[in-house]
Amino acid sequence: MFTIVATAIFSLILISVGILAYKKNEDTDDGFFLGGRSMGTFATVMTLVFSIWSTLAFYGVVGEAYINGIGALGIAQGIFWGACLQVFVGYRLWTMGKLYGMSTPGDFFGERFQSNFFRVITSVGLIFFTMPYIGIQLAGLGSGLKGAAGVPVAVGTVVLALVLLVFVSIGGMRSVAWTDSVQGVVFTVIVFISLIALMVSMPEPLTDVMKKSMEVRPGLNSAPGPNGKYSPLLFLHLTITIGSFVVWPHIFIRFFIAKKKETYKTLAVAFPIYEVLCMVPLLIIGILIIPYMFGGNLTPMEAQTSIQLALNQIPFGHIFGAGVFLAAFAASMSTASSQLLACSSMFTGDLYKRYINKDASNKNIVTTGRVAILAFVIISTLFGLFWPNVFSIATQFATPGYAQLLPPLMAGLFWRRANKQGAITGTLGGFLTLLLTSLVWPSPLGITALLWSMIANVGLLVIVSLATPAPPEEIVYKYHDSINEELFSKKKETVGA
Amino acid sequence: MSRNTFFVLTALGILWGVFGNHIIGPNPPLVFGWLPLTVVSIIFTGCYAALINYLFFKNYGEVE
Repeated sequence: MFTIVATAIFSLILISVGILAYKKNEDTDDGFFLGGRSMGTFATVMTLVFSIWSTLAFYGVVGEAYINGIGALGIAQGIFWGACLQVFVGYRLWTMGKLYGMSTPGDFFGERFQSNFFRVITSVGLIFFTMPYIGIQLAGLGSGLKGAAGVPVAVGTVVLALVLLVFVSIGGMRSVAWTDSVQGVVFTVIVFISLIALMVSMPEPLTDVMKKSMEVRPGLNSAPGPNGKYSPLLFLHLTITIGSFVVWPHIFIRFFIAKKKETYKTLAVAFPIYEVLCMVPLLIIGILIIPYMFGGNLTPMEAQTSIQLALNQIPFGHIFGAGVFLAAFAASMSTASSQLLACSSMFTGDLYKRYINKDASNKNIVTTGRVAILAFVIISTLFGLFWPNVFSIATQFATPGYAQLLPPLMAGLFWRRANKQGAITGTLGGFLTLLLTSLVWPSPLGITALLWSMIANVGLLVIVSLATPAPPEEIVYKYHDSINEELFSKKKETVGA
Repeated sequence: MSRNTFFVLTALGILWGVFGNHIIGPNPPLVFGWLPLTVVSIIFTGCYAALINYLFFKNYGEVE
């Protein structure tokens, strides 16, 4: 009952924030999808950081740490080293957004490489790979609510989908960014309180707790871990996979929302710090507390929910249990809302406005965006509840699939010679290599499919670009010279002034 | 911080992230008697990444 009341109150807070955002929004596509390109530093930082966190990360880190040891934080390496791209990539995309009105990944790839084909496959591909995550997170939350409060999965999933639908469709980006800020604070506080509550509840000193944990699950403290999973190659794989988060669609779009480009400098510093603050407590719970409390034989499924079970066994456990569900709720909603708005933005900006209704008014575009949000929520919820297996392959290829856009993004921003033929061949070739080395010849020579696909992608991009005509001078000037002038000369004062 | 210094320090950080916990070995010392050195290494790696980003980017885009 306590969990249901807490969830209801938290949902009402999110909807209230959505209504507040609605009142502040201008009724234009920029106003709805990008918060009028005027989001403040705190909201931008929080929405970027917490758009990456999901239910999978929250429950997953504890479970993975218990099963495979400290390597579970290999994903943090990607965040540490991908953080610098916030500035290298963010400054240029932010400037292009202000100068040329870009608002989606398709805008960048379509315009820089002068290819509507590239724009369309980018948008359709990103929508296809992003929607499953929304459904899986909603269904995961429905299952979490059943575990925490006994609510039937279908009922919980549908109710939470309605909450998501309401606050995203009412307030657009401003609502998503502000609710992400609220959720981020809730998540961080609960993670810390959970760790402290569990540590002070241990019946023995922590030195003895660690000693016994090591006895029941030896190898948790080191790489490659008890099952030998985390080799250096896998760490490299995770660094590239997660480090390419700048091309995840819901992250990419956030390079167009900040009022000041300096916000992205703050992010480059905040990302690694926040990753440490949020993930290390979960890692410690997974390698120290859980083995001590439950022994060494939990299954992976049991390990996933072990934090909830552990908190239920300490004083005031029902309150902590509700808190843990709220933390998962916050993590899940922050990612799902960002992905939902990104899908709507890409559909409206790259497909509807360009191919279905070229003369659409601002009001019409915003209405279409809201209808698209409704459609994506319905599809995601239905698939998440009834046909989760259909989504499983899409989910498996989503993150390495997104990574295929990193080479054309970096080349498009920093290599003047990169052209349409190279970018398209590299991206499609990389994705084909990913499929082949995942499904037909899994991980040849022990090298992961992602690493093979990135080698193929970069190789094709460079070779084909050099073997075909250079991009036109006006494109090089527009996307390189003029951007450099804006960023690194006194002319920069003109942007966003 | 110069661009070259930044890239070298970042490359070293990535190498430590990939190989560091293997270099520390199978029985890492316990800080305070309970916190494995491998976990401390992850904490310091994150702080190191934030620090070099701060030092390199603090004047980025302002003077050229």
